[in-house]
Amino acid sequence: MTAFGLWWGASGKWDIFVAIYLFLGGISGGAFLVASIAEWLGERADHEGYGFITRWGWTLSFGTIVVGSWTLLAHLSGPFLRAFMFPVKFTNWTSWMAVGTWVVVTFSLVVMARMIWATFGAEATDDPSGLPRHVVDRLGNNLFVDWGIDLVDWGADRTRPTGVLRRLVQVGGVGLAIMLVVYTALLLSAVNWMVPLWNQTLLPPLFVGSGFSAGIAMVVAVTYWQNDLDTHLVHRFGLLDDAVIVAEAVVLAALLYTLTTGGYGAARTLDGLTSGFGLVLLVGMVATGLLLPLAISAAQSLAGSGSMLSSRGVTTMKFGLVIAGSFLLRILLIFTAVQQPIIVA
Amino acid sequence: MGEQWGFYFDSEKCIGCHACSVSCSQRHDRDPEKDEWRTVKNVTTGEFPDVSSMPISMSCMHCSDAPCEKVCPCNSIQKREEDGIVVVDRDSCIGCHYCAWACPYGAPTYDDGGLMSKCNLCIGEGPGGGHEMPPREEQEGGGSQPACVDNCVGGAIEAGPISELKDKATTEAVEQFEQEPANVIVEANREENSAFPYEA
Repeated sequence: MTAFGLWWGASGKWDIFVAIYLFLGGISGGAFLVASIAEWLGERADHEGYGFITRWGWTLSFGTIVVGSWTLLAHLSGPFLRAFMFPVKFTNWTSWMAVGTWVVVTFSLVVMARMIWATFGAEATDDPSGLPRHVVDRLGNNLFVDWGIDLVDWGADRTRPTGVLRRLVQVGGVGLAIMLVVYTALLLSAVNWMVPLWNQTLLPPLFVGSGFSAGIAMVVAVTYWQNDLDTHLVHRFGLLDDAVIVAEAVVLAALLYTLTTGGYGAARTLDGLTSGFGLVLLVGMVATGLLLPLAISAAQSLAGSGSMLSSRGVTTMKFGLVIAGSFLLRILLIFTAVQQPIIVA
Repeated sequence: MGEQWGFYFDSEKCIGCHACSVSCSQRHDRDPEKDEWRTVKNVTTGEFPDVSSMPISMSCMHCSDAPCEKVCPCNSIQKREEDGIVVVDRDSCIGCHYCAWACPYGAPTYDDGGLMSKCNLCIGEGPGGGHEMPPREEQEGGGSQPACVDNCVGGAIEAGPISELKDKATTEAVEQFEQEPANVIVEANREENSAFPYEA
């Protein structure tokens, strides 16, 4: 006989904006990592495709973190302007939300600088492929815009770091990108003692894997369409993506396994994930983000490069599925999370 | 550090009448239709046919190691040195709801303006009334009783300095209290008082 009762707290403490923010933060960090890898490879191999990927990587990373920061602000239910006072207000360093805000801001500045250095200045003027360069070029015939572009071009050439400083910026940026993705996981797992699904050990590698995987998918897919990227490079980055997806699947399986031994809150979370909306979400996420992309990759390898399966449309669909899966993972983690109950004896 | 204040709750004296939650809402100008800062629930124990229902009245427990204070990015939640009461500075709250995830008791509530408010042990009236108030005083010193204590028809809820509450409680309840982070001494089920208020 059960000798106690359980008092369950209310659910639904965060809305869709938090899930979108966590997704965009992850994909932004992932896109930055892809750009860094392409930049590193580009220094060692004379292939213009790496340059395209690098430019798109910085640009998409910047775009997603800007939109992500807006969704972060949008989820706040208090006075909107207070959030902009964060340099003064966010002073509790035991809170990952306070620490993370500074990570987001620092990362945003670094990725903006990297984007400007890569897409403005004399070198970029000679080769205007990649955003935002070819977009701003289309805004020409306007004295004010032209003057503004000239100013950014001038500034980019004079501030672009070289030598050791350049290497420091590269390494520091990669560190910040990883910190950004890891922090989005730590934001949740900091309350793991109350929320069993937000495992402290497994959530950071899961988020890094998911963010990196989605980042590869987004940057390579966009570059593929915008710059007619060499299929050889698409294939190489696709294989890297597949490897990350496999690792992500292993971590996700381990996370679900921890719910079998985590007390009442974990048991209720598992119940939610194996029935109704939770089950649809879990199956949808696993199929969309993990199984289907891997199946498409396997089919492409078997069919060979000349087949329909290896077309740009199918490859783009695979990358689209990876991105959708990454988003569904955040939805799942926010909306199926259950707090531990109070045990009444 | 001054003496910590807390609650004492005896479920055997609680009849589940909600006088505590209604009076709390009234004193702090909260919506009387809802249990907000103080909640009363009937928790079912046992399995059919041997089932019983136990009324439990809960609010912010003013935890000794308040997890809401740790996660609040703006330091809007503070555990006061002078009496251990956990208060909210609503002038700096951004409504991020992070404290709701960290609280084991579901204490934080959010009003239409999105700001957090919760039990302040009646050191002030209205949301945010506890912030920057002087130290809690006992009735003998001119302090008021918390509304829930004042209006509890069975005497199930008491509030005061922890040392005084300990004197009223059973040894089992005090031992249980020593193991918990919350500033609440609970007389739950005298036969099987093992896990309330919270067990991770």
